[in-house]
Amino acid sequence: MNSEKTIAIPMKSAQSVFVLPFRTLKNAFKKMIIILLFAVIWEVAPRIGLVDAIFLPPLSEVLVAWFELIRSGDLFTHFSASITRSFLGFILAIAIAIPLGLMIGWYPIVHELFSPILELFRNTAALALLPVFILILGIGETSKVAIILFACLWPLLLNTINAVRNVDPLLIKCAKSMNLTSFQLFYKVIIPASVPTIFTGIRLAGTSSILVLIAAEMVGAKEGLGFFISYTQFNFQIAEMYAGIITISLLGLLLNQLLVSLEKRFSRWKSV
Amino acid sequence: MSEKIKFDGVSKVFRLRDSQKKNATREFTAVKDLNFTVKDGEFLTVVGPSGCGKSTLLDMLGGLIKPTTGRVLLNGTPIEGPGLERGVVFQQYALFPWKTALANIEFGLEAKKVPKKERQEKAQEYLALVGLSEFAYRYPHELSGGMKQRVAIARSLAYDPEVLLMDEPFAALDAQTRESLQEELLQIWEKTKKTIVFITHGIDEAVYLGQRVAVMTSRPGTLKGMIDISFDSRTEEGDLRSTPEFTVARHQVWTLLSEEVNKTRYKETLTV
Repeated sequence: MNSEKTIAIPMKSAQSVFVLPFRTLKNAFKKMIIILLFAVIWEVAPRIGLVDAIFLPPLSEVLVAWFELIRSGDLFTHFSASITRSFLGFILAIAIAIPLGLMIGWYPIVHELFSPILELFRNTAALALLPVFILILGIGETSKVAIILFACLWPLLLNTINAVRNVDPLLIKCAKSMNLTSFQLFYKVIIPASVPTIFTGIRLAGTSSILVLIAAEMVGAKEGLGFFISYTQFNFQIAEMYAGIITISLLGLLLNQLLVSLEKRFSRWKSV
Repeated sequence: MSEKIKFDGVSKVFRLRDSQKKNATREFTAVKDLNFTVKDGEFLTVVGPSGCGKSTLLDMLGGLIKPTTGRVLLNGTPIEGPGLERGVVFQQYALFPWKTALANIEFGLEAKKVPKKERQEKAQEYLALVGLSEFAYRYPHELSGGMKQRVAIARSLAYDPEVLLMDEPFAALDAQTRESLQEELLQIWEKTKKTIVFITHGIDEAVYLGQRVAVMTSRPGTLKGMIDISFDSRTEEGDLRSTPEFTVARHQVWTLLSEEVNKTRYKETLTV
């Protein structure tokens, strides 16, 4: 269901592009020109023998393989397996990190207790811990969701903590002068003031959820886009492998676009 | 007229980290032995050289800090903390950026637990009082400095405090906006009969607005003199600033203050 939702958004924007005036078309062209150039090079380079067509098939062949995979439904199976894991880890991370981050940011004592361990973990690459996760949680879904959760946790936590600690002290002073209780101060001033920075954390976490997902799926999985890419490589289905890579790029792009537009919506009050 | 506010032998000493010695603190006396009263419905301006503890004085009135010795009384009882019978207006407006002008004005009413419908009516009423009805749904970043300060004043007035505490509210505004806001403030004061304590570093502003001007000494801040400004009605006089009475009063304040400013300058050259 979630995958359907993500797909629905580019369709809408693509539709509106057609009815937009000339200037928007020009802008769209400016944004697309380098990508188009890249596509042309990809198509031409293997054909004229600049690169080995076996290792880098022309774009058209990759696209043909891609449409074939979409038509047969193979790609969708992997796509939905991936997105389920990534979404689950991401949501769990949000549910843990935001309340915890708010606490750490607001109570100096909690901050003092947690900041050494935060410093330690934020500087540990999530993937370095993948073997540990597999050892403890096995090679099933749990370890994959767990590693995504772990990777998403840090950008979320750090941004939430920063957000709370950087709330304009004058706003706090002003609210205090109106005799707000500390609970009221927290949910009427601290939380709304923190929302834009927290959203930056959500966007960063979204990106890393995809990055870590693919790597995790390449190590011991039976489905998912990461598995699909390494599987096709082993079986020398090179066009299919590139099709998988394109799917991942698009997935990352879409997720980022979605989160950016959400971020904008919640930060409307900020001066541009 | 009865006594509204009384400073009874008030001193405030802060502990600061010593800049020379590590882990050492030194004492810093912000204000010392303040004794004065403000009458009910009076407009008192406080003027003094920079760093003389004007803001400390106001923070004590707002209940945000407590005096080290002495008592600050409101209606005969010592101030124990912040309260909605006092409204504070800050130099940097302190509007909540995620709330529209109208919602900002409602903020204090929310704290006072006024029902929603009444809250909106009140907020509209006070927005009209400061002449910003058309800007009800604008966010602070869409308003000019003068408009922001009008909203801030309306916010403080809306919850109907007995005393309005203003901390250099017009210092960040350009000269023309400042003059029109001074005039509006006087009209509001005549209309609402609030007691106002207004802190400024501008002599003209102090004399123009205040029924009495309290002149403070440089660090540690004590009361140097209290000057009565006897105009009948400030709002009905055409160009008050050009009358001989204004010039005389201005000169009185200037004489008291210039001694202090010179002292501060001398002290600063010593510490450098």
